[in-house]
This record gives sequence, C-alpha cells and structure tokens, in this order.
Amino acid sequence: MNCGETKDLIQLYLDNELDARSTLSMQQHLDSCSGCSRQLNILLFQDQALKQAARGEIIDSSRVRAGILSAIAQETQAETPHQTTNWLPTHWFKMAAWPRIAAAAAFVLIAAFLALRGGWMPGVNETVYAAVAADHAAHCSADAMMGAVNDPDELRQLIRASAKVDALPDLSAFGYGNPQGRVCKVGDAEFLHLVYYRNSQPPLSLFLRHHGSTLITEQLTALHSGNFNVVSVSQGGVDLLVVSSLTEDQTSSITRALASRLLQ
Amino acid sequence: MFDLNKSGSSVMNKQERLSRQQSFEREAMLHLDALLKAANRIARPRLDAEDVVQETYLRAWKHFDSFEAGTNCRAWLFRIMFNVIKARSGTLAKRIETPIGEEIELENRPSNVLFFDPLKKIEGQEALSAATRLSPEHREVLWLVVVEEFSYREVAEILEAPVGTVMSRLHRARRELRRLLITDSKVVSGVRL
Repeated sequence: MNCGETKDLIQLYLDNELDARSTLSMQQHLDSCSGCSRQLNILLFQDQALKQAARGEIIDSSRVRAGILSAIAQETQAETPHQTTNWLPTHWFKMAAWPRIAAAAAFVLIAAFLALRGGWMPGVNETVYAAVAADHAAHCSADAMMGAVNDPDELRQLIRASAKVDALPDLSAFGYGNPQGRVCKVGDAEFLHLVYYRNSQPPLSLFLRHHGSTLITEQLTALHSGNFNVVSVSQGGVDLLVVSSLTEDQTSSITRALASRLLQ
Repeated sequence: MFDLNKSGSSVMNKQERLSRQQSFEREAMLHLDALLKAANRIARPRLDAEDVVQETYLRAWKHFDSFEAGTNCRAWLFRIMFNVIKARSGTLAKRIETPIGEEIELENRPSNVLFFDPLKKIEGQEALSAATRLSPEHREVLWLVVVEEFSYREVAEILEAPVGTVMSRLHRARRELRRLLITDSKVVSGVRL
C-alpha cells in the first residue's frame, strides 16, 4: 500500500471498516511511513477527545425516565381489557377444598419463581435504579459524606437496624475500604447507603434494605444509569444494589460475592 | 429489525402487557442516557431534546412488538429518534450538503501555514464544543460513528441514507471539526517556516 491508497482508506481504517487483509496492509504502511502515521494520529486524537468528553458528560435523565415510564404505565392500564367473565373453568368450583388450595399455592409459587427468574426484585423498579445512581453521584466525594457514620461499630449497628444484616460488608478483596454510611430515601423506601473508597479510583456504593419477604433469587439485574453500572440482587429478604464506575461484569462480580457472604 | 409498520396487537391480556412492559424497560430504557446526550447535541437548539427523547420512547413502546429481541435495540431507538427529529423539523428532511469551500487541506498544506500538532493534547470540551458548531448533517454522522460507535451500515439505516453518503459526510465532518479546532487557537502549536 502507498501513501495515496492510505489517504483514501485511512478513515475506514480508523472506523474498523476495512477487511482483515486491507487492515494488515494499512498497518504495514503506517509502521513505515511517518507522514501517514501522523495523519492517523491527528484523526485518532480528535476522535478520542470527542468521544471521551461526550461519554463523560453527566446528565440527569431521571425526569425524562419518570415521564416515559409514567406514560407507558398509563397507556398499559388504559389498554388492559376489563375481565368481567369467569376466567376459571366451571369444574374448578366443583372440586374439593384441599385440591383448590394446593393448586392455588402451586400457582403462587410458580408465579413467584417465574417473576424472580425474570430478574424481578420486590419493590425495586427502573426509577429506583436511576435514583440510587443519582444518589451515588451526589455522594461520591468525602465532602458530600461529611457527617456520615464511619465508625465500624456504629456502622454495624446501622446496618443491623436498617437491613437486618449482621456483618459489615467487607470489600477489601476488591481494594475498597473505609466505608461511610448514611440512611437515605430512594423513592418511597429507605435504604442504607454505604460508600466505599479506593485509592485513585472512584468510590463504590452499596444500597441495602430489608423488605420483609423471604423470597430468594440469585438472579442479578444490571442496568446502566448515567455513568454508572447498577447491579441488584434480592436475597434472604434483603435488597442489595451496587453502584460503581467499574464495568458491568466487575460490578456484578462484587454484587454476587457480597450476596453470597452477606445475605444468606 | 427496523420495520415500524407493524403495530402491537390490540388485544393483549394484563399478564402479556406486564411482561411486555418489563421487557421494554430491560431492553430499551437502558439506552435512555445515550439518546438524551445525542439529542442534546444534535437536536438542539432547534428542538427540545427531552421532548424528542420522550416521543422516541413512546413510539418505540407502541411498536415494540416489531423489535426483534436480541437485535440492536440501541440502533433501533436511534432510528426512531431521527425519524422524530425529521418529523419535527421539516427543514431537516430536505437538507443540502454544506459546501466545504473554506476548509483547510492539512494534507496538502503549504509550508508557511499554522500547523496542528497531533502530540498536543486536545481538550475534550473543546472538541465537544467544536462538534456542536458543525452543520446538522455533519454533527449527527460524527456523533453516531465516533461517540456511539455504530458501523457505517447501521448509521446508513438510522439516517436512511446510502453508506456512501455517510462516508462522505463523515469525512467532511472530521475535516471541518479539525478546521474548527485549529482556528480555536488553543490547539495551534506554532508556525512552520
């Protein structure tokens, strides 16, 4: 490949649109031609600057999110036909009491199982994910957590009272420590918010709440909200949400490890 | 994947609707921030970005049955959003390529012009600000390829334009962005004699 051909194809190379053979030819030419290499760097730096700035922008989408979900919920409600007819077969009413009770119990269990397999979490919806991400963003600095509880004994008491969990979550295996805690309101519910710090890394937040149900699921639900990944799990009657700037996989690993240690 | 003509079934029981709603929240709401950021940079100042995104999601919800699970939901949403933008801004439907005219050809620059030092760090905010000053057709294609990392084919589908048009607009957009960055003196490093 020569400089003229490179000039024609440099944009395709930059955008990963070249086939493997042309990519290899291009790389060989770039390795040996400082002029073309310089042209590539100009485009590359420009693209990277734009991409990083655009992706780093923090926007508050909570109002739009709430508006969309509310409009959809209203539409769903309006479109749902009223069921005024008997939806149980007539022989149901002719059955003895105990098979009816057993069948109803089985139905409830199956429904609960299916709901949990689908990632449903008692009382936690899209709005809560956005709200915990926003709360995390608002409390990322030590200044924002001023006045929060940082004494380990007091934190243990706080976590026991708020989430009915005995142990203080230990994230030292992931490099996070010095937790600080506060009780916060997310939507209509109160959560215990624990912020963990790590040298030269953005902090990580845990949101814990006891919801009274003993339903257990190992299903993790991950959502990206703002610049953060939010991963949740509901286990042993406790809702746990982890908010971090780490990747979804890393956040999920931490959530899984915490759930297995804490929420048994 | 992008067939918006099929509408959802009008007869659906409550369980199906709930399941559809959960599926929509899981698949589509995930991309809200990306759409809002793009709308902020592309639709403004002519249109209200939040209104555009809200309408996009309501249209997506209406046609969610036509979306094939497992395909690229983000690209599907972006296509809907560009349809909303087009519908709201009549001039966008009949847009004309911006003449290049004054662009600086760095590749063939004379030896006594200001030159751009690729080793000098470009500040992200400068690039973002300069990108916002591009013409709409350049701004949107640059955003979709560089920020959202869509392929040329996906961008062509989103914008309903031929792939060749996407490529030429992108080339011009990058060149225009570079011109703006150079004329913003902060990234000019010196004079070549």
